[in-house]
Amino acid sequence: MTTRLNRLLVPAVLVVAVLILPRLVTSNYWMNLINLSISLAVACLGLNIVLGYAGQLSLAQAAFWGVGAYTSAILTTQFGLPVWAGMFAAFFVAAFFGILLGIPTLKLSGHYLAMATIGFGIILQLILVNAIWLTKGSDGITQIPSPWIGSFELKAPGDFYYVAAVSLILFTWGAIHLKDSRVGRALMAIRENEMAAGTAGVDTTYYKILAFTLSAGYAGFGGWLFAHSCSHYISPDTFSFEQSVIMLVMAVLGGNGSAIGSIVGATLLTLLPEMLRFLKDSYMMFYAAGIVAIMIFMPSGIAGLVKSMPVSLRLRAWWNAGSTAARQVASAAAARENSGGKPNAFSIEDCTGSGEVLLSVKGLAKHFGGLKAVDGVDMEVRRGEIQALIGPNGSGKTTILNMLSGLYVPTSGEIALDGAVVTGQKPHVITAHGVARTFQNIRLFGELTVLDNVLIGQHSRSKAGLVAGIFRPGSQRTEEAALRLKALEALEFVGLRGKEFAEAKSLPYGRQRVLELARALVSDPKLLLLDEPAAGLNAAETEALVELLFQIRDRGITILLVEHDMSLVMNVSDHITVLNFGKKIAEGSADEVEHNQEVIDAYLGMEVATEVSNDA
Amino acid sequence: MDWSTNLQMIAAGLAMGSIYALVALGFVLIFNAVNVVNFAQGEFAMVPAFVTVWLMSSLNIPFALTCVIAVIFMGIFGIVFQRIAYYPLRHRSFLPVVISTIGVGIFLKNGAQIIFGAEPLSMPRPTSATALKMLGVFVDPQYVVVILCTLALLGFQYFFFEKTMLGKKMLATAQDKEMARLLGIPVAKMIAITFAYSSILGAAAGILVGPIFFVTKDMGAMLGLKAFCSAILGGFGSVPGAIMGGIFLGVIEVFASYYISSAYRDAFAFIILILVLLLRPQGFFGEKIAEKA
Repeated sequence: MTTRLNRLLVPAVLVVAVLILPRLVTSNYWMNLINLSISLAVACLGLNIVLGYAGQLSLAQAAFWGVGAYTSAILTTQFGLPVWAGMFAAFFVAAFFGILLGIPTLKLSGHYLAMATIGFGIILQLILVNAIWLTKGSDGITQIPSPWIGSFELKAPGDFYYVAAVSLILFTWGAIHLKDSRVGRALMAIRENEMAAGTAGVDTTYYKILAFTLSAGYAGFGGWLFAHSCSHYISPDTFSFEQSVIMLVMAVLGGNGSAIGSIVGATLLTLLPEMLRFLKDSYMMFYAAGIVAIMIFMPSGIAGLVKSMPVSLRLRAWWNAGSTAARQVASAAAARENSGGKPNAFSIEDCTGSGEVLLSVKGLAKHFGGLKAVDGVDMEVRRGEIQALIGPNGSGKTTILNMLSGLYVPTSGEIALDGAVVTGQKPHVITAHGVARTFQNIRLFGELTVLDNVLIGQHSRSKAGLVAGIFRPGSQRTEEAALRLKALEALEFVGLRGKEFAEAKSLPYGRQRVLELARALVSDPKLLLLDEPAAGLNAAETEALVELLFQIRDRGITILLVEHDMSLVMNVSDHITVLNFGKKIAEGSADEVEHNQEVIDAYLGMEVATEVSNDA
Repeated sequence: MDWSTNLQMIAAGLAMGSIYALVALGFVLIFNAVNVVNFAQGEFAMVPAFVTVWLMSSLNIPFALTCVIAVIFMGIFGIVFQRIAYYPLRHRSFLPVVISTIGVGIFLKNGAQIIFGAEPLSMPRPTSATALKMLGVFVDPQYVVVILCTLALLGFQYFFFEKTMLGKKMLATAQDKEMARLLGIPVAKMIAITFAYSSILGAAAGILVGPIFFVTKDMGAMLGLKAFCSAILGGFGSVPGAIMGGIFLGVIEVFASYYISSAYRDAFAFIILILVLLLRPQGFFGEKIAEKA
């Protein structure tokens, strides 16, 4: 309990630092600079949400900053609204523009996304310049009022500073809470592996728009801080593409994905040019050279440097020791030691109705241009069975799994799961219907912890939204605890206990495979799709896998697996479907399939097959 | 809607489009070779424009010789650029390289301002200032020069990549670096040459556009962004796509700023871009690349 109390030290130190700072900095000039850095820091925190958490590059952050600044400036100077009302308007109007940017850029990534966001920023800036009736054009808006508290005007930089500092602390608190919540994990899942995020149940479309929206809202609030402090004057020049680049550099310098890093980056890069003033005209050149040097020599930013220092390792260990997650993991481990029995594991599907058709596929086809990867396949998977889908390379096995899990939209045909037609639905919808899958080439969320990976697997079975994730009411904490409990049980089940806080990508290959399995299991699937689960496993690991497969089936989960390891297939399968060139050529029990002439031909080639059968 | 105005605008659009196409080609060649988008590509046209003005006005070097010097200078510039902005980051992800090229871009812009001053400079015209009468309308002869030079360059480039060994080696490097290396092609050198060639294309664009507008430190930024638009419109990575995208954008822009709004001239490129990305993300010529599960 003492670590829990000690953790209160951090906010205490923070409050003292915030109160003392204006006493130390007496010059208004520097106080204004500090306010400016806070304004930029809030915008960079937003950029950190969209870029650092969700992994979507945005080069329009300065434009949203401008939208916030202009919204509040226009409302307060032209319509006489109080500055505090402008504050809410700045956040929400900018967030609305974030939706506008988010929607068209959904399908884009990498440089396409970069370009689209640049274009968006430039269009917004052109509107600020040209919509003179609203924005006063290039002249800008002057004499923007300061906020009032009662009859006290927060005009002096040292007074406005308190508004800025409190906002910064609240927004940072929000960003940090977000990162460790269901929504934050969904965003990071998209960053780490968008395809796997979808099949783990995350609605990637919704969460990407959410990230852009929230990020723009942060920027808008930063803009409000900017408009009502410093010079009380704004003009379109400030909100340029170059400024967006500078914000990007601030976020990356601080450490992509780290909220505190963004603040450090924003502060450094606001104050640094001031210190470089003696370089006169050439200071921008040094600044630019610095950017390149940072990219070359400090790839993971300041946060990356600090992270590996012994002091910070110890600090983090101390901080994490007090976290709810760590205590829950520890108590789960203790409980396990005491009871000694089998864990009760994740919820068990109702085993009744075994043998009835769970998945029914009719006339399923997928054509890529002229290539008929899958060409009219009918198949059924019965509840409670392990069914294998085999066939030579290129026969369309993985394509079928991709259609079943919603990654591909079938060219024609119908997929029905437990009576519900799910043809062409998005991956997360299909996951919610009770289908989970693993991938041939493992798709984990590599930079996230083992525990987080399994928590994300439960996305479709949990509810907490953005607001609950940030404010953490009791219902959210209860849900998180339940999610963790189930995750721990699943990890126990596949044999990954004790690795909860390891980075997923640091696990050995075989362990990564079972982690992917655990992530799939926690979504309570009726049907589990496994794409070559034994690929790359050694003999002992394969044996353990077979044991796991039987255990999973015995819990009432139906399995459809694609596999090349024939001894495994023949060993575990209740039923086998054989594909060749996109068509089903045989099905039946292991024994039937093994002696089917067409199957032998397909695997060995006609001529060899004939020779073999002649010899026999 | 009078006919001769439209013809004049088509000429202007084709000329601007040719410039976009040249810069866009630079983007595409570098992208194909190393999978990196060079956000300083516009500066590849700004730098030679300043160099040309300086050589002609301050040193009174004749135009033809100036062009030769500028091309050689930009060839070396391209190699140095890749050594600083790309080479140290070649094994890293997309973001650091993007930021580093943006950083070099800012460096070059401010460097140009310190060396050549903030005042816009005008480049001496190699062509006469009197308009040519073609098809019954008056056309700025510089437009004709721009279009002809671009055609000649494209012809040269086609010959270079299709018929010469060096060109084929560069294509092989772009397609598959590992395989090229196994076949004994010096991959690093090919990449350096690609950067050099791309920056020479920039030199052509800078020298050709110089007499039409003033030469300023900011001329590269918009040029680069619009060329990037062109490359995406045509289908990123496609050489004919970059050329067609550039010309399409040049013509559309002139017409839209005349008939719709000249204040928003610079916005049209991006509005079209966002529309194209929405409706046909692979561009006119590109192929859709799906991630394999």
